[in-house]
Amino acid sequence: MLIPIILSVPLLAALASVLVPRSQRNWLEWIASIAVVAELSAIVAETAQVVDHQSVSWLNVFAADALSALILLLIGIVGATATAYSIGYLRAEQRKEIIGFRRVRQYFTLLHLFLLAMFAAVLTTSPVVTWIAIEATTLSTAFLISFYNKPTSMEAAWKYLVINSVGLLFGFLGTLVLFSAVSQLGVATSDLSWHSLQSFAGVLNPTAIKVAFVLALVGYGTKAGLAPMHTWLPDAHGKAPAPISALLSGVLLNVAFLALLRFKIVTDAVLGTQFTSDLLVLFGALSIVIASGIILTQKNYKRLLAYSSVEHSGILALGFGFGGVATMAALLHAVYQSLIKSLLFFGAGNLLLKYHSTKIPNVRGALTLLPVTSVLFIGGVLALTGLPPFGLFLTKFSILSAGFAHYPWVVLLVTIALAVVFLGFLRHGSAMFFGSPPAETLRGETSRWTVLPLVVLALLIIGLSVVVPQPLLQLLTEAAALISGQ
Amino acid sequence: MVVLETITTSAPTLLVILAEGLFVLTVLMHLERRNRALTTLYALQSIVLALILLVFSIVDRDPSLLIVVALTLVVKVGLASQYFGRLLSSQHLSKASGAYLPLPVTLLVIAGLTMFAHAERFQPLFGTEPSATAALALGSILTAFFLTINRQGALSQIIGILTLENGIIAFAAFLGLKQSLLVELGLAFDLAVWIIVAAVFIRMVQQQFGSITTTEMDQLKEE
Repeated sequence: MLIPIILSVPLLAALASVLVPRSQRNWLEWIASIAVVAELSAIVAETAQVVDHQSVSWLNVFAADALSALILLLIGIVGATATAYSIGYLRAEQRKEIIGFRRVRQYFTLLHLFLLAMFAAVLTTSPVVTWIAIEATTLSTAFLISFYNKPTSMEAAWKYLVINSVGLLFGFLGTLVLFSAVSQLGVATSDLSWHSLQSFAGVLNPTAIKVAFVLALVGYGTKAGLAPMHTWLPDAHGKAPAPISALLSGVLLNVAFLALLRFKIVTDAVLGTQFTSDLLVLFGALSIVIASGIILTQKNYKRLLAYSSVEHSGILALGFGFGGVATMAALLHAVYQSLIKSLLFFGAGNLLLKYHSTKIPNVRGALTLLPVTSVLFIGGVLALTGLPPFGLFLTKFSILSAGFAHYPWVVLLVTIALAVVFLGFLRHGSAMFFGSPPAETLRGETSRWTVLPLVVLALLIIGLSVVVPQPLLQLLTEAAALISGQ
Repeated sequence: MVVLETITTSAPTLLVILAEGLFVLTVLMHLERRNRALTTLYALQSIVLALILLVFSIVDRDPSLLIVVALTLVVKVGLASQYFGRLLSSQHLSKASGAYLPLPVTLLVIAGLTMFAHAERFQPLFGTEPSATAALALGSILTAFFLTINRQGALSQIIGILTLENGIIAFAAFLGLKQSLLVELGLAFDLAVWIIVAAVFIRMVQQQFGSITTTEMDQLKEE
C-alpha cells in the first residue's frame, strides 16, 4: 500500500492547492507541509521494506528495488526540505510584492505535480512509463522556471522546454529501438519491464542495443545535464526560484541518471561493459572539463552552482563508466551531491533575498549580514569541492583511483579540472563572504523557514560524512550490485 | 467487409504510400514559410499517422488500436489545430521566422539525411526483412529533427518537435511495437498537456519579446 500513498499524496495535494481561495493563503503551506510529511514517511517505510528484502510493488507497473529506493529517499528528503524552504522564501517574496497569491498557488500546485512525476519515474517498472513521467517533470517545471515572468526566465524556460523535449524524444526512440530488438524474437512488447528486458539479454541484436543505448545516453543524458547537451541547465537552474533549483540540481538529475542506468544494465548484459563504459567516460570527462572552465570565470552565483551540477553529473557518469568500486562510490556521490547542492541553492536563495542580485560582484560581506547562511554555505562549498573530511572527498578519490588503471589520461585531465573547480569556488566564495557589506542592507536571516532546512541538510551531510548507517550502506551495496548486473 | 478485406490485402502497398506521405509532408514543412500552413501540414501529417494506425488496426484485427486512432485525431488534429489556430489569430503570427541555412543547403541536408536513414547499417533495427516503411519513418524523424534546429521561429520549432514525435510513433507502428491501452492513454495525455504548455509558452514569448523569433531571445549570456 505504500506505493499508492507515495503517488496519490502529491496528486491530492496539487488538486487541493488549486482550490485554495485567496483569503486562506496559509492553507497552501499546511497542505504542502502535511503532504511532504506523509510522502517522506511512506518513502522511509518503503525503503525499510526494500532493505528487509520484502516485495514492494503495485499493479505490476510500479515496484521498488534498491536503486529506485535510494533515489526515492533522496527525492523525499530534498523534497521535504525544499517545501519547508519554499514557505519562508515565498513569504519573503510576497512581502516585497515580487509575487502575488496567484503565483504562490501556482507554485505549490506545480511543486506537488513535479514531485509526483519524479516519484512515478523512479517507481515504474515500464520503460515507456519512465519516459512519460520524466517528460511530465519537464512540463511541470517549465512554468516554475519562468516563474518570475521576466525576459531572462522566459528565455531559460523556452530553452529548457525545447532542448529537453527533443532530447527526451531521442530517449523515447532509444526505448522503441530496444523494444524492437525484443519484438524480433516474437515477444509481445506491451508488458515489457526493465527486469524482463534483462532476461532476453543473451539473444538481443547487438547493433540494435548499441543504437538504443546511444539514443538513451543522448536523450536522458540531456536531462541529466551531461555535456554537450547541457546548454539548457545553467539558464534553467539559474533562473528558477531557489527551492526549485535545489530540486532540479539535487534530485531531478539523479532521476534522469536512473533511467540511463536502467538502459546501461540491459546493454551491459548484451554487450559486456566496455561499450557503455567508454561512452560514459567520454561524456563524463567532457562535462567536467567544460564545467570547470566556466566555473573559474563565472560571475553569477546561481549559474556557478548550476555549472557545478554539470560537473557532478560528469563525475557520476565517470563513476558508472569506470565500474567496480567506482559504481558504489558514484551512488554515494549522488547522495552527498543531492544534499550539498540543495543546501547551497537554499543558501543562494537567502543571498538573493538579502542582496536582490545573483551577480557575485554585488554580494559582499555576507558573513556579516547572514552569519548562519554564510557559515553553512561556506561549509557546503568546502564539501562540494571535495575537501576532507566531507564525504565527497572519499567518493571522488574512490572514483578517480578506480579509473586510473584503464583510463589514466582521463583521470589526469579530470583531476586538473577538479582543481580548477576548487580554485573557482575559492575565488568566488572569498569575494562574496568577506569584506564590508553594503551600508544600507539590514543584518539578519529572513526567517526560521529559510534557515532550518539548511541546518537539517548540514547535519545530514556531516552525519553521513562521519558514518554511513548500515541500512543505507546495504541499499548502496545492493544498488551497485544491480547496476553491475549481479 | 469488402472494404476491410481490400484494405487487408493491399495493406503493404497502402502503408508504403502512407509512409511516403508522412515523409513528404515533413519535407514540405521545410519549404513552408507561413505559420498557418505549417500547422495545417502538421494536422495533415497527423491524419496520415492516424490512417497508418487504422490500417494496422484492420490488418491485426486489434480494436484497441481504434482508440489510439481516435486519440491521435483528437489530440494532434483537433487540440493542436485549435490551440495553434487561436494563438496565430490572437497574436497575429502569420509569417514564420526564417531558417539558419539557405533553402538549397537545407534540401541537400534533407537528401543526406534520407540517404542516411536508408543505409544498410540500420537494417538490424528493422528486423530480419528490409523495411521501406520503417526507413521512411526514420527519414521523417531525422528530417523533423533538422526542422527543429534549422528554424528560428518558436512555432516552427514546436511543429518540428511534434513532427519528430509523429515520426517516432510511425516508426514504432511499422516495427509492430504495441503498448497497453493504459500506456497509450498516458502518452496521449502527455502529448495533449505538452501542446497546451507549448502554445501558452509561445504566447508568453510573443508578449515578452514582441516576436517569436528565437534569435530575439539573447538576454542570457555568460558575462
